[in-house]
Amino acid sequence: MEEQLPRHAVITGCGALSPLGCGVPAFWEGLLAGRSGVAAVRSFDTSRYTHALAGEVPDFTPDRHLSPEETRRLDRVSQYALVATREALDEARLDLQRVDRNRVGVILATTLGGMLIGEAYQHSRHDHRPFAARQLLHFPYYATAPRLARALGVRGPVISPSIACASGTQAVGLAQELIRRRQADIFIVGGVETVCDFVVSGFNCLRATTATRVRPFDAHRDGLAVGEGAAVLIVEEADHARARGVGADIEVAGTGLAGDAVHMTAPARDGAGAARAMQAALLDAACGPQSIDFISAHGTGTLYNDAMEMAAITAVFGEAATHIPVNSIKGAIGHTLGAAGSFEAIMCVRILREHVIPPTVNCEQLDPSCALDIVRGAPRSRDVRTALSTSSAFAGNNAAIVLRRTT
Amino acid sequence: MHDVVITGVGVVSPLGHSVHELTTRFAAGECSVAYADGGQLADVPVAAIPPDKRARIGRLDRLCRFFLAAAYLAVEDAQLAIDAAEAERVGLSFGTGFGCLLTNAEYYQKVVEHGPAAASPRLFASTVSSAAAGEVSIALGIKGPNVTAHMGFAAGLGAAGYGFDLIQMGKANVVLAGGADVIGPALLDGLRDMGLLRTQPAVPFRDAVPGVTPSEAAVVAVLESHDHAVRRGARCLGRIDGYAAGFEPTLTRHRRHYAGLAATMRRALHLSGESAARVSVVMSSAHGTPVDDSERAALVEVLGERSDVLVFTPKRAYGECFGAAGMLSLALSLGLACYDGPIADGLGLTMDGAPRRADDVAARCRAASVVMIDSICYSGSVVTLLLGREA
Repeated sequence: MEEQLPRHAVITGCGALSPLGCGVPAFWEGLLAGRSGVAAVRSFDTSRYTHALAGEVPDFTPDRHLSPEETRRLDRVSQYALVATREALDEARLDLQRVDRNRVGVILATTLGGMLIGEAYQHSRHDHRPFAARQLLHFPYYATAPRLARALGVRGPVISPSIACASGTQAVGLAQELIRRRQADIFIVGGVETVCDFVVSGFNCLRATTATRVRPFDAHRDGLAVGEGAAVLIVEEADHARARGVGADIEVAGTGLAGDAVHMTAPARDGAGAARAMQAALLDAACGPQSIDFISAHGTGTLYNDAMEMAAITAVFGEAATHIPVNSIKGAIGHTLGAAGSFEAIMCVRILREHVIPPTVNCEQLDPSCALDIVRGAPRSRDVRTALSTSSAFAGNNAAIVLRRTT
Repeated sequence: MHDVVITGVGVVSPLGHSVHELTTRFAAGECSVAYADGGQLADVPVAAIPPDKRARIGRLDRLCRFFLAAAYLAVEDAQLAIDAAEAERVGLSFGTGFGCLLTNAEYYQKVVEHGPAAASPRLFASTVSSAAAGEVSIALGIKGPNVTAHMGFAAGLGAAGYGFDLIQMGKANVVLAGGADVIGPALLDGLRDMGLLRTQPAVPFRDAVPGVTPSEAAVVAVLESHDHAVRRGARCLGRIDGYAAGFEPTLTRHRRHYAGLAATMRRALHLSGESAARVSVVMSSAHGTPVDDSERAALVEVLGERSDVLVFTPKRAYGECFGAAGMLSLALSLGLACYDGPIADGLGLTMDGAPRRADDVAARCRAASVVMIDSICYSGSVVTLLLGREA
């Protein structure tokens, strides 16, 4: 085959529906203000739990954002995804009627998908109540991304990455890889989750949840709280974006993946897998560790994850790790699982453009073993040209991406 | 770019646990569907798993067991040793339709019936679809890229496509790529409640009734850069020329189209540098539902109504294996390429509808230079992969 010019992937639009509110401005301003959207669960009965905190989307009223038919037909997770997608399309000034939809794909990560439907089905069977069984078509993990693709009428690749809590980061990286590989010119990329009984019970039984607040990298951190929402980015081939007259100032420059191959639920204590994923992303972006101006950590607020990340970042950056700003947004929005990495990617886009880094909410007394430069207390002004975002997950999965300002 | 070859395949299927057995029984016209065979589910081929690793098997869910067994069979078939020095250059790409759905149901049923105190940490740990690939990575010491993706029933073939990408991009030397799905009470109950459960296989391209005959399988292929395979003296079973993933948004409607399917097939040809004229065998995704008509129309548009194209419909032999289906087609393609036994009448259709003699079908399979494999999900996801025969 003839040699072809390399292709670059850029981010042209973002949309977010988060525990900090509806829209990217609410998300970003909430992060800068150090607000937390994590509170006692409101969407279902938690009386059987000793504690149940979560980051839930506040006051979501579907009919304010969606047509009556969409409100009626779509389940909650699909509504979230569609609302965030429309915001991202607006920012990207992307009219899907005016591009080749064979060249537009959807990569939507989720670890829960239509779980609310699954829960309702199992309760109905237990209680011998009637249930509209056709809803089950929207229950499997693979159903949410096609539902969004059908709503948009696109015909490119439709994929649901499923590497648990690293899925949202991998989604952004996968879009970059598939654009380079000429599978499509545009991807609608992101992650979406809904807080539900299933996942709250699960992390409770693992004793991984906080009874108080999510405090990443804090000396007194005691666990995570799940979060929900949708984070969607438009990732587009750079020349395609420029031809549309849209800014191509933020590049998805590198993607790295690696497995721990150690344990199904606990991270490798030495952070070796996370470190290899970061190194692979740097290699893919053709930049050295010295180029990184900011790190968005996974920072779940659990004892082991945060310690693992301290080790991993130190392994990759050595002495420099002590003066690269690092933050985690889990204290602000909770752990949004498959969407987490996509929310963090959106935050990185804003940091790259606005030269300010949001603080790590609730990190008040820094873990004395942490030598990293955790941004806390207040936003920090910094001209960030290149950012690294990292995620780790059950099954020993690690993903990292490098985002770079091109102007 | 690195050429990508297949050096080993592991199969766990209703038609046997090797490419040879799968091919021989398929060629003989056998039909064996996990559910249709009286609801008896297949045993996991524990013999494939080294004795010192079997203790772990008892704690795994059915999906993990199937995928782990197929992975061991594939590594053995490829005579691949994954040592510590190369573990970081070996990747995993896993595709599944329903993933951990059965485990999710089992986990949550306890919560519904007995409250959160009954929630099982062991089960919850497997309520991620990446658990199967995670188990394989731990068992085999694989430390390179490790991904799991859902693309409906097209997931397994999509995983092979992404494995091909990882090697071509230079991110791995070897990738274990495959698909798996298993059946159990929660899936069967759901299909039955939706009126989509069939207990006998439908005839692809003839029947057009909603619903599936659920079956189960796991297939793992060892993908390898050609240079790497040559260096270690590995046998090359075939070569992946390229693939494309796409979507047809109308497959869930009453009025279905096929533009997305045809565009995906054309893109696969384009990205592979192949021409439609060189495709002489098609492994179809047809399974006896109305979606078959869309696939037929797309094939006619892309390949033409040629008499020299053989179309196989393997799901008539083993039912709908969901995310494993495309990889079963891949395994069968490799098996038929070197199969020199008899092929039962009626197994190879022609694009122009003309009948073919069985010996002619076998000869054409052995002579085919490019095989097109389709994997299509009712949800709209589609993957087309092109398999070259000579390495």
